[in-house]
Amino acid sequence: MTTVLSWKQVVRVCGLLAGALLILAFIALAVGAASLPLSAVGSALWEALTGSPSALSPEHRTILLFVRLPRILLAMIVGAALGVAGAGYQALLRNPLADPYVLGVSSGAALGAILSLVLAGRFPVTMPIAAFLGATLTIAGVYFLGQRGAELSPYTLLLAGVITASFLSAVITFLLNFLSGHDLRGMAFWLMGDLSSPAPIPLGWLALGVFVAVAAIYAVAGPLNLLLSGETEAEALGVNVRQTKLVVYLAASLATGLAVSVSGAIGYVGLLVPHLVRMLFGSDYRLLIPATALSGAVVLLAADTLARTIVAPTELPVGAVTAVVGAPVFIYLLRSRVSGRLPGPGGGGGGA
Amino acid sequence: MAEPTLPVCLEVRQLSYRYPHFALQAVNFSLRRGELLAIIGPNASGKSTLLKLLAGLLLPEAGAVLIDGRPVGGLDLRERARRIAVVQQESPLLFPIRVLPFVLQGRHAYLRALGFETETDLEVARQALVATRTGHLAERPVQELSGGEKQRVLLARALAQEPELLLLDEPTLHLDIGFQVELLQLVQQLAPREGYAVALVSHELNLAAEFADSVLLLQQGRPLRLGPPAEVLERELLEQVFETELEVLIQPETGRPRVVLRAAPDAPEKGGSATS
Repeated sequence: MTTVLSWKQVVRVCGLLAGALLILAFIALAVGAASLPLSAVGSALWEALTGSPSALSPEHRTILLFVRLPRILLAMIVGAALGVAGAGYQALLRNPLADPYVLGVSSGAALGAILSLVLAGRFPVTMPIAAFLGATLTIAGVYFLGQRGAELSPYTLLLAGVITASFLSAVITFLLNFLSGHDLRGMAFWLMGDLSSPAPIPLGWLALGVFVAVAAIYAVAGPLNLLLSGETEAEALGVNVRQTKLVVYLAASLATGLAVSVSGAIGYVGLLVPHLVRMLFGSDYRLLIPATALSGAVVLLAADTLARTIVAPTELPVGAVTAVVGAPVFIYLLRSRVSGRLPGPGGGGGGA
Repeated sequence: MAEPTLPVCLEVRQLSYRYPHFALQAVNFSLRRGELLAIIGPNASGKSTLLKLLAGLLLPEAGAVLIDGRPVGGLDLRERARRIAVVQQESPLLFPIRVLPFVLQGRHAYLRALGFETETDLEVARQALVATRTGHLAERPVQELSGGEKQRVLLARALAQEPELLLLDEPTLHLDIGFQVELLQLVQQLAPREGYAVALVSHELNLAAEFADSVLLLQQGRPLRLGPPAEVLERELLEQVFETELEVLIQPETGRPRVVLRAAPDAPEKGGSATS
């Protein structure tokens, strides 16, 4: 039978996606404002992968290894983080339309990051921590606002998220006035979600943090599957519901906080990618989480490559690209069969 | 009928639980493997609360629920899920899932962390599908099943847990009379064969009368009577508890009672929802 998931299938799908990611990375290295010979791109990729020096000219090396490659890696890490955060929030909140951006969590993380810039600008380390705190506080607040009585209402939750995002963006705009020393156009880009400025923390640390968050959610992938059929059912089937939810809550907020602190509020990746993966490979979280991490990397890298090439030599913020695609898909999902399964106001779930 | 030699599986002693406006008081009974207990009573008599206490989903305020001599609250979650399976009122599913993977969820407590289902798990799940006559549905999305099919698949998931105690919360709700009988026949056949004890909550007095080995009647959180169907389903008692005029007939072939409405010719029938 084909519908039962095995580790072999997980390896096969992830291998496929990793291959696609590598090919895309090659293309992304090759295209840009300066056109470079493919051989130089090949040498650069070889040098980046193996560490052995190659016959690259100094200016090509600078462009490829110190401008494009870091940005490509940043896009991959951020894409993976946002995709997995979205998949995590969808299970945690039992809402197929959950996404860090739609729920206002990205804005909360951005506010945290900006506050740390205003209050402790000389210590860039505080920025991801503040962003993580901003994310955890925002999702807690949105969860509280989304409750009607004892039940979590899916539509109220989404509305609460959208309103929270708009409120927090206003606060951020207000705070930006205190940052006149900074590049305001850069900040505006950052608010839309942008990968053009170098990460304020080393890529290695960022990758490690995102890896920890993804691994934590993957570790509870089995219980998460059961949580999708309802909390009481999951508990009766042997799931520690409280512990599972706590892990996902913290890990998804960590992933969001890290992503936002280096790239601003990039929208809809957490919504688009998990749904795409579900359509292609099914909704088992043991496959969904690693496949979403890799697909998130693919999608955001593709979007960012578009963002820096379609209007070259200038650039678009990548958040504009993801929103142009993501917002219509959100509307489609809202009106389609996915939301048809959302319990209506006051419906669903058992009583005492 | 259960063999009297089968060991006691579930023992309930002086079990009590209190909500702000309702209390379940001093429930006592024991259940052997292969036996089927029906818990009946009017709305808000504490049936579902009792079932949650038996499942370990609520912890007793006083008294004890012992499974094979050990308190249910003391079992860790995974061990509890290997011993007790609950079929509850269904929750809506968030994403599409096919029947076989859904039934395999019953194996969760047997998997190692990050584990995938083994051949054994698959075999148990397939047997559960066969036992509930849902083998042909294995590849169908759960969302597309009819009410009766869905209920049997929920039962299959519970059977995949290989429990000692099977708890059913109104398993026949939303089913037509044919499916009701089929589902309970299934449970009645499986219980002695697989060695489970079964406790079910039901509003269907006649299904309880027909299929249960013993019946527990609750009223406002108090256990009124416990015993074989013919001893519990007595006219005066039921009329008092359900506040409606009833007739109890004893079937000559089986000796089991049958509850029917006694429509008063001059007065409009009152309620009547308590009987099938």
